[in-house]
Parts: sequence; structure tokens; C-alpha cells
Amino acid sequence: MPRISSKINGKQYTAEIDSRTLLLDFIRDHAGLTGSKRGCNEGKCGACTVMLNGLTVKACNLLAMRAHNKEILTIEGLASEDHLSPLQQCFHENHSLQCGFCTAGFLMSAQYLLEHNAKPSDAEIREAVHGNVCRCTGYQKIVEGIRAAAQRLQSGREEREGAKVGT
Amino acid sequence: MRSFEYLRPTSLDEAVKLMAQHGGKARVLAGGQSLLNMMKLRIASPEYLVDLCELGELATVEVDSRRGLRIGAMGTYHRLQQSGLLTSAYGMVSDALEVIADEQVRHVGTLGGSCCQADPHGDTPNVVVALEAEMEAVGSKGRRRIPARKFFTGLLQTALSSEEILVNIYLPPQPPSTGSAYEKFAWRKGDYAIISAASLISLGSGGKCTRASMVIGSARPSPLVLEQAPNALVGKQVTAELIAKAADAAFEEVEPEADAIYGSSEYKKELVRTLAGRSLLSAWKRAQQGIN
Repeated sequence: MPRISSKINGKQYTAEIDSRTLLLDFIRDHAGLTGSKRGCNEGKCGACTVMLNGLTVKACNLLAMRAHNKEILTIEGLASEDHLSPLQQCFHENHSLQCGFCTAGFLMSAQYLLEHNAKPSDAEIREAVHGNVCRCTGYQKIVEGIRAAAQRLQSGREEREGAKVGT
Repeated sequence: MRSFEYLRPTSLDEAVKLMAQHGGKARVLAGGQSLLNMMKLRIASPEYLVDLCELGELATVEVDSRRGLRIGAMGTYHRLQQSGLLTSAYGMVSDALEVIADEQVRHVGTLGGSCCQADPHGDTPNVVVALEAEMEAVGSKGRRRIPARKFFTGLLQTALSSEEILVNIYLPPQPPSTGSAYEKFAWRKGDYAIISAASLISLGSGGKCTRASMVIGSARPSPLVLEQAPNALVGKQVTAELIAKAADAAFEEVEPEADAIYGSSEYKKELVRTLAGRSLLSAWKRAQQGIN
């Protein structure tokens, strides 16, 4: 059986796994991190979206061995201690979820977007979450949550820069 | 998914040896975005999976002065999009990349893998055929180059033998004032195409068309190279009216296969006309920019 060693949210996990193990199964069953969800299991719905070495991937359509010696970021890695990340907080405030099943995947895609585009347009936001399916919200509230997060992160940056100029 | 032995060669030589050793029982794993789904459905059940992810030299994209753009078979769509090397002549590749699945899939999926998958409704076979790419393969008997037009041999079938590995795709250099474009129709963006069209136009002095080519995808099991329709343009001053005539000629030339999901041959024929026209207009616009 192949041996895998990967870092998930900064913590090292090592295991002997069946070669068929999907990355999603490794995350959920071996690491016990059940925030990433299995929706379609064929790489369509995006509920299993995680980051692999900084790029979003669908964990249900990747062999776990592809993550060997790599770093994975899951939804559990977004919040710090008891504090939601600004993006999570904005989803909460803007009612960007209803049943919540797709939310972890949307948050990872949105996180990736905001890491690469500080001021996304609504069209860019919709394009960024094109690979995630939500059956409750009609997407509008999700777009609003991501837009609010982009604005909050931007004003946070401006405040920090203003403070630097002030000193 | 049926059980398989996972093999992870660290050199191309080792990969070639493994494929030669396990012959028809082994499959190469590139991005896996199609193959893994086929394995889950047990449409594919390889006994050995040879994962090429350690072969960094196969994941690069670079300009080769003699042979054009070299795209390593393990180069992801994302890497290709980020390369900045897709000029107006290769515009159809940029167009195709934008409408392949979604960002998460493009982070993993590869041009080489999808060509080897040879799905009749896939996007990449059409553009490599339209650009007359060369597909470079390696097997235990050595290295060979296969013209893209001879690479796709049928439904999910390619000219590769069961032990050969696709290593590079070369997009040949194009003359100045060449533009190309890809248009597809699908019910949702990122879905498999119902019909698609890849067009290329080269302009000479004074704006006369010196070369035109058109490939229609999803109409047949393999990309369909149009023999007649481009003749409506070659040697003539290109205008929007002339492009409409070429699109009509494409409509006359293509007899798409009907299917139970996406519709009749007549319906698809109209899509051929529309998409041929759109892709030619876009290719013409890019050729006029004159930046190769």
C-alpha cells in the first residue's frame, strides 16, 4: 500500500492508504476533518473544494497520493482559534448560506479569488465560483458575501497602511 | 473503482519501462479529471496506474524557436493560461481554456491528458487539430511525432499504442497577421460542447486571406476538418459578408450525428453555421491586429 505524508492545515499526517483513496477520503476519514463535503463525487459540484499547494482543487476527483509531500488547506484552516476569518464572517452576516452543505467549497473558491484579486467585480466573483453548485441561495447572497469580504479586507489594508504612514 | 497498483516513476525512462512492462493493463495518469471518473464508473479499470506527476520536464510550456510552442503533456490548463505565450495566432487555445470546466478542474487538468482522452465532445482535440499541432510520443521503440490530424482515430481512441506516452504537444509557428478563435455551444458554461468551431485566418498584404482553416467539434467522433468552407475565404478580401458565406458553406458541408440528449442533426447544423461564423469573425479580428 502506498504511504502518504501530507500537511493539512499545518499539521503533518502520515498513513498507509489504499491506492484508490481519494484526497477527500484522506481528509475526511484519515485526518478526521469532515468540513469538506462529498456532493457529486465526480468533480462537478465543488462541495469538496480544498487548496493543494495554494491552488483550489476538487478533492473528490484527485487521488490522495497526488497530495503526497504537499500542503493542503481545508475549511478547518480558515478560522483562527474561535474567530471566523473575515470571509467566513461576511458569509455569516450576508446570509450567504442556507443549508450550508456547499459552503465549505464556496469559501475555499472565494478565498482563492481574494488571494489573487483584491477588488473583484461581480462578474469575476461569479466566474470564480463557477465550479461550485448551490441549490439553496440562488447565488446572489453568496456574491454579496464575497463582495463584502473583499471590501472589508481592502479597508483593513488601507487602515494598516494609513497607520504606517502616521508613524 | 477497482483496485490498481499505483506507480510513480521519477524519470521518463522509468515511465516508459513501466508502460512497456505492463502493456495494455496500465494507464497513464495525467490530470485525472476524466480518467478517475471513468474508473469510478468502472468504464476504465487499469491494473496499473502510472502517475507522471513527478516528471517536471513534462509540465512546462515554452517557446521552441524551430517548432513553435512546446506544451509538455503534463502542463495544466492553468499553467498554460498563466504562461503569457498564447498570442493571437493561438487565440483559439485561450478561448478553449476559458470554457473548459471550471477553475478547480483547470488547476489539475492537462492539455495532454484531454487529448489522450479523445472525448468527441472535448474542446482540446479541436484546437490541436485546427492548429496542425504535432503530438510527440515516447515508447520502448523510441520517440515519434504524430500529426494531430492523425492522432484522433475515433471515440476515445488515439493513434498511441497501449504502451506509448504522450510527452509534448507542439503548436507550429504561425505567419504574422494570423488569428484564431474557438467558439462552443453548451447549455451551461464549462459543459461538454454540443457543437464547437475552431477557425484560423492568415492575412497577407492588403488584408487578403492567404490561408483559412476550420474544424468542427462534437459533430463526429473525432474533430472534423472542413475541406470546402475555408475556400470561401482564401485569396479574397475578407469582409463580414464573406464570412457569413463561409459559415453557410460550413452548414452545407457538415452532417452532425444526432443524439438522444442534445438534439437532432438539423439543430446541430444550425449551430455549426452560427459558431463557424462567430469563430471566423473573431479570428479575423485577431488577424487584423497583426500581432503574432
